[in-house]
Amino acid sequence: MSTPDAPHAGGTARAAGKPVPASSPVGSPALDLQDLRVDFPTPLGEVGIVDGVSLSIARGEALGMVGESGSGKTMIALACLRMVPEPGRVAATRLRVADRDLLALDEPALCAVRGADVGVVFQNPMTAFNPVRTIGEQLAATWLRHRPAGGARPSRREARERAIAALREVGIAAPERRVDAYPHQMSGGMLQRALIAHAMINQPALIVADEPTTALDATVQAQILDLLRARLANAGLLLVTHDLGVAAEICDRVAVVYAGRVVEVGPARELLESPRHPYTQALLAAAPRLDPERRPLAPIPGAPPSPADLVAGCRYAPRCPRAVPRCGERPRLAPEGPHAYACWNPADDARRAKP
Amino acid sequence: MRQLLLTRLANLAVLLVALTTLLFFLLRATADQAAMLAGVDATPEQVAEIRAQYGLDRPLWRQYADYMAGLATLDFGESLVSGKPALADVVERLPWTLLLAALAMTLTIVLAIPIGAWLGSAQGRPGPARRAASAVVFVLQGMPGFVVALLLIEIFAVELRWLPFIGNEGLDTWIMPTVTLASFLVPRLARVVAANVAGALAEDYVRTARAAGASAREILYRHALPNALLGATALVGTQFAFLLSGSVITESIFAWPGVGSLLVRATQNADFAVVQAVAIVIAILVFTVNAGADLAFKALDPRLRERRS
Repeated sequence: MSTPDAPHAGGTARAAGKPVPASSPVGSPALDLQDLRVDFPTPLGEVGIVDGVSLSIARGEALGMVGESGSGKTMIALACLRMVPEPGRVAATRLRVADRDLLALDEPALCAVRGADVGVVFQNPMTAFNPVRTIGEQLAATWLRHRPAGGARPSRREARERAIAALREVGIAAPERRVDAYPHQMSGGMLQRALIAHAMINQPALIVADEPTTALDATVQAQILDLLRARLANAGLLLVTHDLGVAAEICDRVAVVYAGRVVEVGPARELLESPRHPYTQALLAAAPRLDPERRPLAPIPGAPPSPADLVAGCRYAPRCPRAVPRCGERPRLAPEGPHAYACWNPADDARRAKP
Repeated sequence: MRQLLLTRLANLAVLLVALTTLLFFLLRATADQAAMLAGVDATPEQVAEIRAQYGLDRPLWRQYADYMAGLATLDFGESLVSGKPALADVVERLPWTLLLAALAMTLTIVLAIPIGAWLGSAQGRPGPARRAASAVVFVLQGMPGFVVALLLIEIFAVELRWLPFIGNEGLDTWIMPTVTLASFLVPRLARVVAANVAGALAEDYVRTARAAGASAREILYRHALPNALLGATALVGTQFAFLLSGSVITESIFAWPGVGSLLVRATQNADFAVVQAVAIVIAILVFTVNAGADLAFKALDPRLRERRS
């Protein structure tokens, strides 16, 4: 599946039956997404849940994708697996994971990519494992599934050893015992660790984490985020979250999504300190902070638009305090170095404004 | 575990006492055994003589006390028809009822699980084949067993002459009763399995497995079906219990020599001892099957397996 002029791709090594190195030195990005669209047919016509999103994640880089419920961020994450539910349709000018063109693959080929080149950590760890199979069985199954065809098939014992090692790597104590535990015998935090082990057991190039800490309590949240970041090694991470603070904390870059479009993307620190898009600013103002000033939280007026009735032009304009007449025209992401935003009337650069 | 078993046994004892007491008085309220034995042409004197001979002239409570005392020593009384101990009559026919129940249950499981799994894996988008199959299952569920039996006889015994009408003379006589009973059970089990499979396929763990590269086939067989069948064990237990107790009509239609047809004959002849023996034996069997299904459920589901000392 990898092209001859890309011999460095992880997939080539796997196809050749060689063990995949944990950190293959690769130039190809973990995720390369150009102009992604996800459309759902409705009685009123096609509704674009995701409308022209372009993202790129390098190896070893963590990108946080922040947005409200219904902004389409989960759909973007699912599109990276070609797992958008029926009857949704995915289109893009480029949708590549570790140099594999997901748009060109059929379902069996996609099955070979999922779990091998992309690993996923879903939201609710309590229900993410099959309740009637042990954690070890489920980890081992995912490892065995992606062993190369031909050659000696690894034994169950070997798979079990792999599962134990994977559990150990995510900091689960006594993995030799936990490997035989059923999901109901483990805590939420431990299950989320196991789920991360499950996602990483085949050393994928890309890890997608969809709200991985939402169902966990605050102390465990921080541990899980640290773990994700620490175990990343040479993989790219797409962290989907509604919490800008969480994204900024562990991610190198942050993309803010509103109504199916990326409105601002840039280095995490820069975005946090100097948000240019009014929506990013509003999100920051709405987040609780440990601030000596104890300023009141500022909710964003209005509600996110329904995908069925979107305004032409900037989709945030109806709620935007900085809206100008030109907002009726669609703003494109204007790159300003690594920091880009789609706004006709951006806020001033807070850092440059400082004396 | 032991506690559970003891509780269950206590339940069974209470159930059996209530059942026998109720049956004892109800049966005697419905028919006069002495008149039945004497026949239609008997004079009142002859009836009285028979009444005295069988001890039926004693007060009802005395008869009841004697009967219960007998039960304690496994003496169920004698059949008025065969003159043999009532329990012996039942035990002699029980293997045939168990055989028919086992055949029907096996056929039901073999048919219902694949059908249910197939119907349930439509993922909300059933094609024409699944729609048609659903409709057939739905209609079959509404069809009474005796109608199926009569249709089978009409087609395979009368018209095609492929199968013998009735009786129990070899494998070919087993087919129609088995199919009749299964026709009643398959739609019910298939629909439960289908609903459970559809429910399991919507679970988060299926999404996890898919995202880890599991094929649709692997998801169905390794994830959805085991969970779906777990939920269906209770119904299989109930269905087997039904087969033990409820095949009266089917056994009668096909002249199957099981306890069902024995029960019909005994009732017609006011052979109370046999009726009661059948009722008690069936009650114990049904109870055992239900308890077994319960235990199986606990053994199969790791969430219930907990705390086994």
